[in-house]
Amino acid sequence: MSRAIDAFAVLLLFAAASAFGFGVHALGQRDDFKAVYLLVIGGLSLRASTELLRPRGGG
Amino acid sequence: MADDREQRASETDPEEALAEPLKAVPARALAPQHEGPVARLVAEIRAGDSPGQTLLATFVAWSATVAPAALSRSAARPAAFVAVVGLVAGLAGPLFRGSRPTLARHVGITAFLALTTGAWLLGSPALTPARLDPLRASVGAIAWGAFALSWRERWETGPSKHEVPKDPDAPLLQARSTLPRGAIPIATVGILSGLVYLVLAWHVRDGDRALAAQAVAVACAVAISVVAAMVAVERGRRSSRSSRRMTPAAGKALLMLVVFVVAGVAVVLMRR
Repeated sequence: MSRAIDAFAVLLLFAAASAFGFGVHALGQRDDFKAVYLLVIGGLSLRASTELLRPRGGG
Repeated sequence: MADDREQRASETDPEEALAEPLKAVPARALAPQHEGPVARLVAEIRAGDSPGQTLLATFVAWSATVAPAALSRSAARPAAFVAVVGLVAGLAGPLFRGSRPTLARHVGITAFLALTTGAWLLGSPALTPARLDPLRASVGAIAWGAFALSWRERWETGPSKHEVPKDPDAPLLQARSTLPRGAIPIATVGILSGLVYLVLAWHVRDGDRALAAQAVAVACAVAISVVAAMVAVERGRRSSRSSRRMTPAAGKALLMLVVFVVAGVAVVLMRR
């Protein structure tokens, strides 16, 4: 279970990296809605990845 | 007592006693003051206090960022004059660094930066975002960093301390823990992703979005680097309180992520 959660956290990290990259690229393509959506998805992925590995108040 | 020890040391090893004070003397003070500037420059280069790197960094920074703006056709004629005077100041300052450091800093840093700013203001038509070249901008940023580092104050090395003899019976110091497998590739991917964002932001040509793209790219680069380092290190560690890893906060974050992904897919399908 622990290994699966570790792998999922890494997957979320890579997803966030991709979302940020496509978001900045979309900003250059004047596609603001897509850019904001991808940046939000990237931010949420990063937060979920962090919460999985180092939960707040979990020591 | 201390005087006796010093006197004994100077009697036993006169060469070492002579060399010790010389180590603490600044390199520039070794340059002969009665000779000409060329001889002083050669002495400074031999002492490792060469102004060559400052001259090179100044010239590259000026060539990459000031010259294209001030010497372009669309720039006003005073811009070229101010830029050339700035270059002269930037190249003259390091030459006085050994003999008159305060004057050198005023000329090489203050006057150079003031004249460079003036040249940029006078040549502002050539600085529109549409004319910015990402490669030249990157080279210019690195060159200005090298310029700042080349003007750093050299640390003078004092006399070396006596080394403590090693204890053969002392145990080897072992690391308390090791990095989990794959930590370095994960951290590398995070850092490279951050660099890719910064490069992508330079390709945004629209003036209004360019500034926002730079800010977003820096924020994303910082966030991905920090979280990648955390993920690289924290994997495999169990909580000291319990082995349960899926906390309510993590579940909430995952739920919000799924909601946003599903909403995005729904919006895309509805648009078709």
